[in-house]
Order: sequence, then structure tokens, then C-alpha cells
Amino acid sequence: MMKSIVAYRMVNFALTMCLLLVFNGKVLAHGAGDEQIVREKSGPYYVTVWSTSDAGSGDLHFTVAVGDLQENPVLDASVVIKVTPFGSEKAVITQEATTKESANKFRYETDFSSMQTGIYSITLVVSGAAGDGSISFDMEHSYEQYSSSWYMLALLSLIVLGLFGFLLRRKTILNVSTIVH
Amino acid sequence: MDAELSALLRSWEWRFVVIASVGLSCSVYLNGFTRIRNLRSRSESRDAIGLVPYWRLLSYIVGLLCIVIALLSPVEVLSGQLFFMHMIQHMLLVMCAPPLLLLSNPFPVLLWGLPTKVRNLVAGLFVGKSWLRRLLKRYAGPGMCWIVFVIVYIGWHDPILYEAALSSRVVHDIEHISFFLSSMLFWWHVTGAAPRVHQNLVYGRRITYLLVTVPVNMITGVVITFSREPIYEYYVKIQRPWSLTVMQDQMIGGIIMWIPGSMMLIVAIIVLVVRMMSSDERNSTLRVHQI
Repeated sequence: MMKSIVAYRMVNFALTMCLLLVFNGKVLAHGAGDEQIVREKSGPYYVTVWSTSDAGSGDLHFTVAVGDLQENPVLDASVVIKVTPFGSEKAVITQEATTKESANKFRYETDFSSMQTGIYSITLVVSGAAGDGSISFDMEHSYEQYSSSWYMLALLSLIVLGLFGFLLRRKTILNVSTIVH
Repeated sequence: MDAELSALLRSWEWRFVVIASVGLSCSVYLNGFTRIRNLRSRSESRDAIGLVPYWRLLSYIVGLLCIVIALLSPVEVLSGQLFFMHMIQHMLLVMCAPPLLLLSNPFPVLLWGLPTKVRNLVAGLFVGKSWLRRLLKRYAGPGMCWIVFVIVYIGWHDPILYEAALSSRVVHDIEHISFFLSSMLFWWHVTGAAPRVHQNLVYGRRITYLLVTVPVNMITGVVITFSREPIYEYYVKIQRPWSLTVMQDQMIGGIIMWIPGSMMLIVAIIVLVVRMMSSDERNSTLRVHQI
């Protein structure tokens, strides 16, 4: 009986830690995310692009690192991202990625809000003192892998609430001063 | 100001979980500190005098600051771009924050900062034959804590695990939590902070405990410093500021791990030696007086 209670509490502790991590992942969606292109040459620049799909809002987030040909970061470029849904070339959405909203000021970031899932063609135009460059690639905006975390979150919340209820039922009156030293 | 330096100094990430955890633990500690000091002045109990001097409060706050710098500042933001930043972050989480937090003897102070019901609930986990106390007594002895610390410390520097931590936020957080918790367990036996589940180690054993850890840290740092090729592929494809090459970055990271990392252990050894000598002196003076 005692062993099962210990096991129950250990499992709950582990799940609570998982819960914290799940929260972390949602709150901190500004991590670099999935690599789309790595150090691809675009005119006089090297470009690396990461993307993140947010299940909650449907946002498609891009993080871009721009470097010159000597591998030094370029911090004053203009980075424009064009997103075109596959098969409907007229519905182009264009946004500028900047360092203003990014945590890492060496990287350019932007969010495309409430995007439908599907395959997109992405074109990146980089303009700066060294000249202009552009690069294109295709990617899938899908957040199935993330949406399951919401169910997980609800399940974990229930378990944690259950744990608190269980612990609060124990009315242990203790003299705390016995353990302060 | 240099554009790259300016970008570095402005790279902060305000993580809600970290801010909330640090803010909460700071306010609970301050509440407990004030309550214990008020208790002392009311009852003039001598027991509480040694428990909460102001240097303990300072130690706790500096310890929390180390966590803030490690997890919110440019050190965190650029750890995925510069290897040496990542090593500074690890040093803060392993060698600075845990000993400083434990020197403040946080357990009783935090307990006193909690509401009575929660205090009784938490305290109940550490007294008598509670499951947690038995678990700690059985599996968190000095030997086991040392082994866990060394495995975690060296293990996360393995290229496969390290690359996994860099490419996944969740794995990166697990890495930091495991570093911090294993270090807390390791430094717990060095500082002798509450809860005192085991008998406190005598100074000689504490010094030995630290001495055997120095080579572990040193060897890991030396291997990274003198490696002839990049150990972590992730950094090869990343652009670095100040025209740092991947090898220069790796060497600086290795040196940070090797020298300041070992220095923290050596400083702790020196402090323990001084305390051991002064306690020997006190004991011999006491004996002379008794004679």
C-alpha cells in the first residue's frame, strides 16, 4: 500500500515537471524552431531560416539569421518574407522580419497570423549595404505534432489538481521548529 | 557602441516560468526571513540568531540573480549561437547558483515564508518516517549525489545529448533542470544546509568530496579546450559575432569550464580548510580552558 502511494506521488511529480515543460514550450514559441534552410547563399549573404507553427493561434513564425560571406552576422539588413499558398499564386502575403521583436537581436523574426495549414512556397528577399539577394524554398505549415500537447496539458492539469486534493486531505499538524536545524 | 555588442546587450528573453519561479521563491524567502527575525526580536531566542543573519539573505538573492542571468539574459539567448556563452550558462547553474542558494540555508526560511497549512504540508514531507525523507536518506547520500552529479555533468557534454539539447527547447530545459537539481544535491552535502536528513559530513570529508570533483571538471574542460576539431556540429553551421571561428569559440568555452569552474571548487575547499582550522583552534582553546 505504502509503496503504491510513493509510486503514485513520484509519477505525479514527474508529470508536474512535464506540465511545466509543456507550458514552457507554449509560452516560449520564439525559439528558433525547425530548420528550413541552413547557410544557403543568397546573393552576398548566407541565410538560415527556422520556422515554428503555433497550434493555438495558427501563427507561422519565422526566424532568420543573415550573415555576410565572411560569416559575420549582418544586423542592418531588410529581410522581406513572401508566403504563397501552394496552388494559389495570387494569394501572396508579404511581411518584413525585423530584429525589434526578436529576443536574439542577431536574428530577424516575424509572425504570419492565423495561417491555414498546408504547403507554402516561401521567398526571402534580403537587402543591405552589400547588395540584394533572394532565396526560395517550400515548406509545410502543420501543427498536428503540437496540437496533442493541449490534450496532454488538460490531462496533466487534472492529475496535478488530483494530487493537490490528495495531499491537502492529509491534515498533518507539525511542529516546524523541529526541522529548522 | 559596436553594433554587435549592442545587439548582444539587448538580447534578453523574458520567460514567464523563470520570472514567476524566481519572483515567487524570492518573495517567500523574504517573508520567511522577516517572520523569523520578528520572532527573534519578540522572544529573544538565541536559536534564531544564527539562522538568518543578513549575509544569508544576500547569498540567496545573489544565487537567484545567477539563475536570472543564466536563464533570461544574453547568456541564455546567445547560448545557441556561441558555445562559450552556453558554458557560462552551465557554470552559473552548476557552480554559482546552487552553493549560493544553499549557503543561505533556504529550507527553514522558505518554510517560514509559507502559509501555515502549506508549511505543515511541506514540512510533513521531511519529518519522521515520511516517504521523501526515507527516499532522500536512502538514495541521496554523499556518494550517490556525487555519482549523479558527475554523470549529469559529463553526460550532457556528450555530443549526441548536447546537440539534442540545442535542437529542442524541451530537451534544453530538461538539461538545465537536471544540471541545477544534481548540483543542488551535490552542494547540499558540502554546505550542510537543511533539511539534515543525513549526518553532516565532517570538514575533512567535505574537502575530499570537493577534491575528487576537481579532476572531473578539469578533464572535461581540458578535453574541450584542446580538441583539434569541432566537437559539436551544431555550432559549425551557425554565424558567430566578432568573427569568432568555431574552434576559437570552442576553446574559450573549454577554458571557462576548466578554469573558473575548477576555481569555484577550489574556493570552496579553501573556505572549508579555514573553517576546519578555526574550529580545531576553538576546540583546543576550549580544552585548555577546561584543564
